[in-house]
Amino acid sequence: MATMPVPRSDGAAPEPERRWWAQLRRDRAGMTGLAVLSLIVAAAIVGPVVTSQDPFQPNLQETFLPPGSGHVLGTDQLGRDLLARVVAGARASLLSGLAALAVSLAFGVPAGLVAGYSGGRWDDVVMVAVEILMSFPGVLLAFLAIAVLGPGQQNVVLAVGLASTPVFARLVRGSALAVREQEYVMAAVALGATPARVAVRHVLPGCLAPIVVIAVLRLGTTIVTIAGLGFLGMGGDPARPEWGAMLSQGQEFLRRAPHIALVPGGAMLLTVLSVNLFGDAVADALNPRVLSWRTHRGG
Amino acid sequence: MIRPLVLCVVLALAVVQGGPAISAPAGRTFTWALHVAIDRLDPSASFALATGMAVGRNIFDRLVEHDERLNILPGLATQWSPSPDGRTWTFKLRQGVRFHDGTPFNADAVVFNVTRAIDPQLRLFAGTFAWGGVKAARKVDDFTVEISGDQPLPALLNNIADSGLGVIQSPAAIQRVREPRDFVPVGTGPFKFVSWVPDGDLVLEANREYWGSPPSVDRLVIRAMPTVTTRVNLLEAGEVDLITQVPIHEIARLKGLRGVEVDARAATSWTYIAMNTTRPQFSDVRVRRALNYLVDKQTIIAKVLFGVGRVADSPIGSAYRAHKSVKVYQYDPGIAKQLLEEAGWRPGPDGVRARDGQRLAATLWVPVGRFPGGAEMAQVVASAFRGVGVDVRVQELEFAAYLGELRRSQAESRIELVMAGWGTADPDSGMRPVLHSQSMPPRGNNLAFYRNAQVDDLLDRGAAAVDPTARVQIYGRVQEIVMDDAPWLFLTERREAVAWRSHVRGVRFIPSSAGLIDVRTVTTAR
Repeated sequence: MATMPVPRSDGAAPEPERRWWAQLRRDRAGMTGLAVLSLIVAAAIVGPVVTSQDPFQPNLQETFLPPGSGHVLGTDQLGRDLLARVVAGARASLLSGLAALAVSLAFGVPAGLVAGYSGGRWDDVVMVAVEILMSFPGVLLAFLAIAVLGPGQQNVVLAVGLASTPVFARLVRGSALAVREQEYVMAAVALGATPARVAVRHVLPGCLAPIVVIAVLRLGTTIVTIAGLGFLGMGGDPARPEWGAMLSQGQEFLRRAPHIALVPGGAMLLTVLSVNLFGDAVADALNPRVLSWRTHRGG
Repeated sequence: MIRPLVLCVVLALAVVQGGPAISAPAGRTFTWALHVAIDRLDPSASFALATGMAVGRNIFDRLVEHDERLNILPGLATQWSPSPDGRTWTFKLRQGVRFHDGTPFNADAVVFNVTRAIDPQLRLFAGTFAWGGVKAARKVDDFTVEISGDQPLPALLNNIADSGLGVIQSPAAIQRVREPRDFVPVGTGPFKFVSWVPDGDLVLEANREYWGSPPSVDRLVIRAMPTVTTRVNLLEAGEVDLITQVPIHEIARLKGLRGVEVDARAATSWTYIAMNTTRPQFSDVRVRRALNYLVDKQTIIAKVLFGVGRVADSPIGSAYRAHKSVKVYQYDPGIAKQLLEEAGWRPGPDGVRARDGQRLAATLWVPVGRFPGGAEMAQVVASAFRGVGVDVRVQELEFAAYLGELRRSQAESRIELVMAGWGTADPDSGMRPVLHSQSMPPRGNNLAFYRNAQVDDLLDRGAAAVDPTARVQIYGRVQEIVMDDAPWLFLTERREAVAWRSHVRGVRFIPSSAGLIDVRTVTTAR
C-alpha cells in the first residue's frame, strides 16, 4: 500500500478519498451496519408519518396486547401502540445521540486544539482538567451534571455530551501535537499567519480523520448512556417514547408481557450494533491513510 | 463484649460453610423476605419503619397494640385512662413479665424508656414519632405509670401502637451498651434476638416464656430483600415463606400458582396529587373540582393498578376509624368542561384553555418508583386533562430531587401539581401535616399550600379532644370540607399486597405506617 503518495501541487486529492470509500465498501460487516442504520434513520424520519397510531395517547381498553392483534408490535401497559412508540423513540434516540456528540465536539475540539497547538501553560491547564474528568466514569459525570442541571431530556443530552467532552479534548490535543510539527504548518507560521489562523486553518483539518472515527464510534456509547439515564428516570417526562424509559417501564411486566421491554431493547441493540459495525469499518478504512489524508488536505 | 465476638465467629463459619442452611437447627423456621433493609437494631433510635415492623414488633412489646381494625388492645399495659384535661395518661402495667435477659418489667422500665426516647440530646426518632408531645413519664407505683404532656395527648395510644418504634426495652441491656455496635436488642416480645447481618438476615428464636401465647414457629428469619423480582422468585421457589410488597402487576399471576396465597388489604396510606392552590391556575375551586371530575378512578384502578386499590371517597384512607365516606368525583368530562367555562378558562388558539393571557398549563411531578403505578396514573390523568384543553406535562423526579423540591417554602416553591402519599394511624398525624395552614413546607407537607381557617380550627380542636366520639365527628367534618374544597386530585387509597406459601397460616394484617404484616401468630406446617 502506498502510504506516501506524491503530493500534488494543486492540493486536490480525490484519489485517497475514493480509496477510502472503496475499502469501506469491501467491509461486509460495516456495510451491513450502514444498511441497518440507514433503515433506522429512514424509519425515524418518515415513521411518524407512516404509523397512524398516536405514540402518546393512552388507551386503557387495549393494554398489554401482544404483537399482531391489530398492533404490529403490540401495545404497552397504557395501551399505546409499541410500533409507533419505538419509531418515535428512534427519532428521539438518534437526535439526542447526535446532539450530545455535537456538545462534546463543541467543547472538546476547541479545548484540545488550544492545548495541543499552543502548548505550555494552556496545555497544562486543559490537560489537568481533562485528566481529572477522565478519572470519573462517564456515567457518573453525567449523573453529576443531571444533579446540577435537573432532570429533563435537554439536560440529559447536555450531561452526556459534557461527560464525553474530555475524550475529544485529549484526542484532538494528541493529533494537534503531531500535526503542528508538520512542515506545512511551520511554513504557514513562517509566512506570518496568526496562531488562531494556523490552528483553525492548518492544524484542525489535519485532526479531522481521528475525530470522525471516534465520533462515529462514540455515537453508540452515547445512545446507550442517554438510554441508561432515561432508564433511571432522569429523562423527565415518562410519556416520552424514549427507549431507555420504555425499557425501564417494560421490565416490570417482563413476565406478563415481555414484548413491552423487548421491543425498545431490541431497537436499541440493533441501532448500537449497526453504529458500532459501521464505526469500526470507518476506522479501518481511514486509519492507514490518516497520515496521507492529513498531508493532502492540510496544505 | 464476648457475645458479639462469639456471634461473629459463628456467623463467619456459617458463611464459609454455605449460608443459612448450616445455622438452621431442628424445628420450624419461618422465613420472611422483607422489602426494605433494617437500618439498626434499636427501634427507638431507628428512622426506618421497616425496623419497627421487623425488630420492634417481634422482639419487643408496646404498652398498647392495634388490632386489624385499629382498635386499641392491651399490650404491656392492661388498663389506661386519660385525665379530664387529656394531658396525662395513666397506665396500669402487666405483672410478672420478664425481659429476655431475665430482668423484670415494671414502672421503672417504662419511665426509663420514655425518658430515653424523648431526651432531646439523643434526638431519637421514636421520641417525636411514637411519643410525640410527651414531656414526662412518672412512676406512681411499681406497676402504674403516668405519661404527660403540656398539651392534650389524644393521639398517644395510636402513636404508641402504630409504628413498632415505641417499644419498651430492657433498661439493663441499654445501660450495658458502651459503643453503638455493642447494642443487642432485649425486649419482652415473642421472639428473642439471635443474630443480624446488616442487609442480610435477622435471625430470631421463639421466646418460650412469652407472657402472651408463645409463637408456634421456633425460628423467625427476616431477610432484607429490596429487589422485587428476587423476592417473587424466592417465594415461587419455596425458599422463603412470605414476602411483603408484592408488585401489583404480579398479584394475578401469583394467585394462579399452586402453593402460593396472595392478599392485598387497605393500608392507612393513600395517593393523591396536590394542586398548588396559590398558583393562578389552581386558585379557583371550580378548576380544582373540574380536574377531579376528569380523573377516571375506576378505570385507573382496574387497568393501571390491576384492581388493587379503592376509589377515594374521602381525603384519607378507609382504614382509619375516623374515615367518612364523603363523596366520589365521578368521571364526567362534561361537568368538567362546564366548570372550566364558568371559571372563565376558554380554549385558546393552540387548543389550551386560557384566561387573561394565562394558559391553563402545569407540570405534574412524580417521584420515580415511589408509588405503585405512579408514572402510569400521572400519564393517564395528564392525557385526560389535555383532552379538555388543560396542558399538563408529567415529569418524573428522582426521589432525592423530589424531596428537595417539597422542602421549598411557599415563596420559593416550584410545585404546580405533585403526586404524593400520606398515611399514619391517627387522624391528627394523618391530616394536620398535610392540610393545616401551619404545615406548609418546609415544616410540613401541606403541598397544596391549602389554607382554610375552618379546617385549621377543626384540626386544632381535634388535637385537643380526647373523647373518641368527638374526634370522629371533628375529623368527619374536616373530610367533608376538604373533599368539597378539593386542594388535591383524589386518586386511590393504597393497598399493600403480601404473598405467602400455602403451608403458612395465621398471617395478620394490621394497617400501620410501618407496613401491614404481623407474623407473631403465624404457624407453618413445614
